[in-house]
Amino acid sequence: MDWQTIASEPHAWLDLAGPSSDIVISTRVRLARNIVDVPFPERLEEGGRRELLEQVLRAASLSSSLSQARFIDMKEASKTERQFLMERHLISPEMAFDDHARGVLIGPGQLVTLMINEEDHLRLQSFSPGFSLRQAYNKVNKADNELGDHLAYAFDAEWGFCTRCPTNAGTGLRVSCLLHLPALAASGDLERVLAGLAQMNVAARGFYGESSKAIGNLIQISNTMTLGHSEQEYLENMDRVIQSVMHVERQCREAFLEPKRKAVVEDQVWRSWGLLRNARLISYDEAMSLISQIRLGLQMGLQVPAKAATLNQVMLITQPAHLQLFKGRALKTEERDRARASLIREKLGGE
Amino acid sequence: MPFHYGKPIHPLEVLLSLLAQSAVRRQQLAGVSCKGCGLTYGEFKRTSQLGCSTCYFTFASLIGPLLKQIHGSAQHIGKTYKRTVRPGSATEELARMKVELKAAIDEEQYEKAAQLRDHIQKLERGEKTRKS
Repeated sequence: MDWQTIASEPHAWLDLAGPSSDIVISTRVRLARNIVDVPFPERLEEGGRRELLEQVLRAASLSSSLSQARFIDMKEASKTERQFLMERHLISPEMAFDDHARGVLIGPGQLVTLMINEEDHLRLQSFSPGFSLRQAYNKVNKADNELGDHLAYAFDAEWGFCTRCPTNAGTGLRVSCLLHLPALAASGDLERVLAGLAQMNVAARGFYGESSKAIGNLIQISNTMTLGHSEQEYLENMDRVIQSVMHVERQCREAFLEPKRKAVVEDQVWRSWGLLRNARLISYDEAMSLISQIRLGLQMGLQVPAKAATLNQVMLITQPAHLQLFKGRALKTEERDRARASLIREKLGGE
Repeated sequence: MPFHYGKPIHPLEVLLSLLAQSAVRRQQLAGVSCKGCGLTYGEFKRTSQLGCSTCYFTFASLIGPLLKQIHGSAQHIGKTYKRTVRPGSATEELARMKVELKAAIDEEQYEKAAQLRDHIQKLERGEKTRKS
């Protein structure tokens, strides 16, 4: 497997042409599917899992969405390589840290992926840049139709698609947007806004999904309910939610333009710029916080000589497994912090 | 400012224990295990995860109310899928007979249609007892 090639491929984060990409980094839509009469992966023996994996791969080879996809067998991927895939959100954390017969198909441009033998037999995902719910859904839906022609999905007219966890049953749909909310975070109202989301049937999750923490003011917002409404209705609800969160973030950003506050923000932005371009040791969390400030500065029209695309690239490639993959070996925390600082200086033209 | 958002709270365990409080249900389900994967009622209660798609029918009396509690509804109205119909299954027979019934009505073969209708109703009642 040529990991350097995978690492240099395009990624939804790096495409700034997506709608509202000043706030929404990327959109992801996932469908959970299972094969009828086959126990879910958790209750399937290794041989059964292998068989299922092969069955799904055969179906995928017949679909136009995934026939050109690259397959990565988790058994053959090292820990670092798996973590690298997780950092790109191509596989889930659960998939990254488990040794069963499972794998992931990665479609061209890393825009459609299919996890096989994760919590469900199939976890089909599609990514698109910026705020683009329908674009992402249409892609995943097409791949789902194609796979469904060659597989016998477990589906019930009353309860929809059967999933391992009843919380995913019905549509099996999860729509997630990764949002950058620096102004809302600085205003102190972020927690309150996110808590309010529960009433709109969506939840805020951390950077890498459930139970992970938020870094660099990046928040993932996803739907929590999957049964009783159509996919279109869930997309519409998500659209309303994200629009309103973006509205609040934009209001907070505007409030920062008031002269007194602007001076403070400006100072923070330029300090962040100085730190990033001069640090010799830097953790991912710190780098992400500083990048967050600079992104905010750019969006407020400050003349920081950084490109948004470069900042997004730095966010992606300075993650721990990315660094180790580039170096070709495992790195201790301090070595990583050093490699990260050096890569950031190189990318941002530091000293 | 570090944030930490935990797993979204799905009051699954709470719900399951509430449901389990119904003594009748508990008795009915106590010895039940799924024919598809062997998952027992106890395991389902403990993990709130299912073992296979057949579990949905094995534990149907528990799952219907559970889905309603989680999602506010137990009736899927999204995308449908038709290929799950297995050769020789009751579902398949039902689907085939419904097509035949429509054809019989179109061709004004009312005697045949009445027979088919009765057969369909019988099968559908069978389906319902399996699921509720």
